[in-house]
Amino acid sequence: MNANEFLSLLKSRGATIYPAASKRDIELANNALQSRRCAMFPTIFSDLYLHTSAINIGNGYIFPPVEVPRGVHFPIPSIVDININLPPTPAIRGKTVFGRNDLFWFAFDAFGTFYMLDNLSLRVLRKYDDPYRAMMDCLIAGKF
Amino acid sequence: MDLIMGRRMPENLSVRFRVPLVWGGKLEIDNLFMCMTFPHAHNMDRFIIEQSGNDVIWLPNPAKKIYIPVHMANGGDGGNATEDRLSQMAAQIATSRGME
Repeated sequence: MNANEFLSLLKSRGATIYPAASKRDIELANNALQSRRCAMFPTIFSDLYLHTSAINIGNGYIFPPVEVPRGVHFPIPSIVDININLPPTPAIRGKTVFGRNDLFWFAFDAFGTFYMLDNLSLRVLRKYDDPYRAMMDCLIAGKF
Repeated sequence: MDLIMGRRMPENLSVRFRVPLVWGGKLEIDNLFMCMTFPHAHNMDRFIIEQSGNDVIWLPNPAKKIYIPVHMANGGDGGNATEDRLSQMAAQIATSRGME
C-alpha cells in the first residue's frame, strides 16, 4: 500500500482529509521533535504529510505537523504540541505520539515500529510492523 | 442528512467512560458522558495519564451527560461596569490606548 491508496481507502470510509503540509513545515516539526528527544518521522510519515497534513474520522485523529484551523471548531493541534504537552512518563520515552481515538493513542519510535498505547497509562498494547495498519486502526476506531 | 436523522455523530465528539472498564467501570449509560475530543477529551486523557502509577487516581466526572464548560456555555457578564465580555474587552483596549 502507498499513501495514495491509503488515503483513497480512508476517503471511502468518510474520513476528512486536510490539505497537504509543506516540506518546510515537515522539516521544522521533525527538528522540533528531535530537539525534544522524540522519535523523528519515518519516511512513510513524511511522505504521507506531503499528501495530507491531518486526517480525522469522528474522534480518530492523525496529528498534523502544524496546527490545522477548522473555522469555528477547535483547531487540530500539531504533533509537536501534542508531544510537548505530554507528561514525561517512561512508557513513551523515545516515542512520538502521532494519533489518538477515544480508547487508544498511537505512537512510533526511532526504528519505525508503530505502537498502540493504552490511553490511561500510555503503556504499549500492541506493536505494528505495517504503519498503514496502525494508522488505519487509529482512525477506524474513532468512527461511531 | 445523517447528522440530522441521528444516524451519525458529528466530528470531534467523544463518548467517555466516567470509570474506565479496566478499573471496574460498567458498560452502562450512567457510566458514560459526551464531550468534545479537542480540547476536552484530550485534556482529560492527559490529566489521567499524569496520575499513572499513583495509588489514588482522580477521574473527571461531570454532573451531566454532556460536558460543556461554563465559559463556553454563555457569554456571561464581563465585569462590574459593563454589560458583557465584549464590552469589557473593548473598554480594556480603549484604556490601554488612552482612548477613554
